[in-house]
Amino acid sequence: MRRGLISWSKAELPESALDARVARVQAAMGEAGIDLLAVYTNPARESGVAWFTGFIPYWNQCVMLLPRAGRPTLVAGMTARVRDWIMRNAHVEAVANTTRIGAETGRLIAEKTSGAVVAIADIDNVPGSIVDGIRASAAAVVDGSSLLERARAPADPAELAFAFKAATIGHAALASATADETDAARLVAAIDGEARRLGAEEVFIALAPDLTVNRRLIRLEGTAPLAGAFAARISLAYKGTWVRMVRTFGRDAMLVRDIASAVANFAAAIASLPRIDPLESFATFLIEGCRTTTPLEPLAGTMLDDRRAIAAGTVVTVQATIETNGRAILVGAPVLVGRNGEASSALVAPRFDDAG
Amino acid sequence: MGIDGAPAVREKKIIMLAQERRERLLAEMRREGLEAIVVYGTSWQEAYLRYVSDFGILEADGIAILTADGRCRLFVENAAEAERAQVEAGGVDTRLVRNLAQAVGRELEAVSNQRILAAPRTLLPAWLTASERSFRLEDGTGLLDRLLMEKAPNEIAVMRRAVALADEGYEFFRSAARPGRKQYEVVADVEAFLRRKGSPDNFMIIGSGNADVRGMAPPSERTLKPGDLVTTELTPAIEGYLAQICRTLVLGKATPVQKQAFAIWHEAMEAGIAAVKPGVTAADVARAENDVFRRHGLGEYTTSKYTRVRGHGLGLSTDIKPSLLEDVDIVLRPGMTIIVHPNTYHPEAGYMVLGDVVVVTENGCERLTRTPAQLFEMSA
Repeated sequence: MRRGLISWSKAELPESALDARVARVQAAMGEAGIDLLAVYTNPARESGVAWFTGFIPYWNQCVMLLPRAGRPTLVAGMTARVRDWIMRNAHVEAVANTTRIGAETGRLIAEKTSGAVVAIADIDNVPGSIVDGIRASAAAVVDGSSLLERARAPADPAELAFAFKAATIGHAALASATADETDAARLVAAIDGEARRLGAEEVFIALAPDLTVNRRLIRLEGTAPLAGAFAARISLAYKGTWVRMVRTFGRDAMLVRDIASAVANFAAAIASLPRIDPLESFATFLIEGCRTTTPLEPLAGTMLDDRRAIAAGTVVTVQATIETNGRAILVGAPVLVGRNGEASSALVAPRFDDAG
Repeated sequence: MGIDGAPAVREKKIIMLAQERRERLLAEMRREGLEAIVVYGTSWQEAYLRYVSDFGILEADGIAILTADGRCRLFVENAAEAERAQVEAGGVDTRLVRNLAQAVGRELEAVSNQRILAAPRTLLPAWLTASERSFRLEDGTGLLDRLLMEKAPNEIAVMRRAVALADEGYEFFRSAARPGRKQYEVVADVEAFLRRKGSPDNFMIIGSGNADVRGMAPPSERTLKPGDLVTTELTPAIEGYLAQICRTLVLGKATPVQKQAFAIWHEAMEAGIAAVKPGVTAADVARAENDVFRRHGLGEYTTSKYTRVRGHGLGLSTDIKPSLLEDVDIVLRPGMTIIVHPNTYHPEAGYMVLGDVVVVTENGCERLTRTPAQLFEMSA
């Protein structure tokens, strides 16, 4: 559950930016004959409602109900005592607090429109109790995922600004650690604390404490010694926008040179996005991004049997394992996918002073 | 042991504890004639998934299926989570899937003519609960809730360690909460402290100010000021078990109003703890707390307009059953770990919190929290 900075800054995310997003979706709803769009949110699926309203639930679950005209309403699982906090941090018309979210959403649908056609984003994975409540009051329920996906790409300036801020925080946090660190818990503390002090909404740190033994990035319980080659990944959100960065740390000069070489190869490969064939030469790669409501959804990679489209003008996070002189170098960074033939590039280059 | 007392990573006993939980559940399954248990988890409702799979989910959703033969399969839709689970979830077959509900559904087709329980039923993805499925998922929330609430001795041992860390965390919090610092900076420092201690997770909300503050929330940019009441609910995790502490700190000397108000909170918490014993209900404990407020003419502030619950269970989530509310009839039993916290608003002092963790014993309860139950003041 969230415990980093959560507050809606109207300077960073003006009401006009949110209104423009809403208007874009409402126009698409009109064309598709959809009366209401329901978008589910909880701390793990925050990206849809945050995009529409700026709202991020620190716990619990909510449904945003967007009519074809006017501002959205939020049906929130939190009690009424946090209504003022929600209203301060969400650009919505009203908040309804209830423990019976599905039933209350259904009641609001019936109140707003009789015989409504309701689209639900990511309908398969929305809790059944909520979908049932909506079905009870709607003439028809359809999947609203593709409508939302189309409206979200390309990223608008406010979303890009959040991604740049998140990338900057991630880089600074990883840069606050050094290859000389020998204790995993202390390394995690340094990175985690720095990211939160810089305003991250949430931070997850994963480590591969000894790359010669295991390349998998895991969350540590307790601590472990850090070997001569180790890697850290920071996954962080800034006001609802998630990115990841990965850094390999090496103590010997040869490894430092190999890391620099791998980072350069990575930069060259990501320039081709949305083409992914240059990444396929690496031992592993993974591309993640937000299409609808879930942050960092896997889009393509060696762990996946299929690929999702990588939209031009969106931000994706790319990770790779690059074998260099027989050693595994882990690299990762958020990337802005180029439009109209432009090269794609990392929002912040995954280079660090003591790693070349 | 590592630096700052952090224990070595993934000690063998963690795996053993997970195996104990799974064996306990398998015994229940045999008793009930169940072929499979399906549990859903996400970062704010992680307990069911953690109980079955030992995986502490952070991103997106996950579902585990435990079958009567002891096989546990974990389905996740986030690639980073899949990578972590392959290492962190011992004895579990992890699969990265595109559509979580449909992938789980395909597995359940094979046992569709047998009894399958699911928990928490209300959060299961819509696709899995649709009437056209060939399998039927009975509500297993009650069974899992009972196991989550009534802890085995080894689980209580971990809870004791988590409570001790919460005590340490609050001591650190008191040093970090200083005038001039922003709320989120203070929380960042506490998080870093807990990571140094080897705790991978924490839940924390905070409030600062005076009578204008109606509750706690995630940290904002608000700068702490001299005279502020600073409230926090700090909940670090050890091996997935979360223990909480609630305390109030005055940045300076407490005023007579603040002291008088806090005395009521203290009386209410002690009344609640005194009521905790096997056989009483959660409502009895909540009523004992609320009666104190009512006696002091503050009954209005025990309602949902001002407060959520008067305490709650702790364990593999920061908020498991029972909720301490006057309409909750869950009977307390030995092995339950509960925080009793009469947190609410005072019309003159503002929002105040105070909460200690207890474990229900055969004859009453044992208080685990060691931090003094006092209104802390920041010395100059």
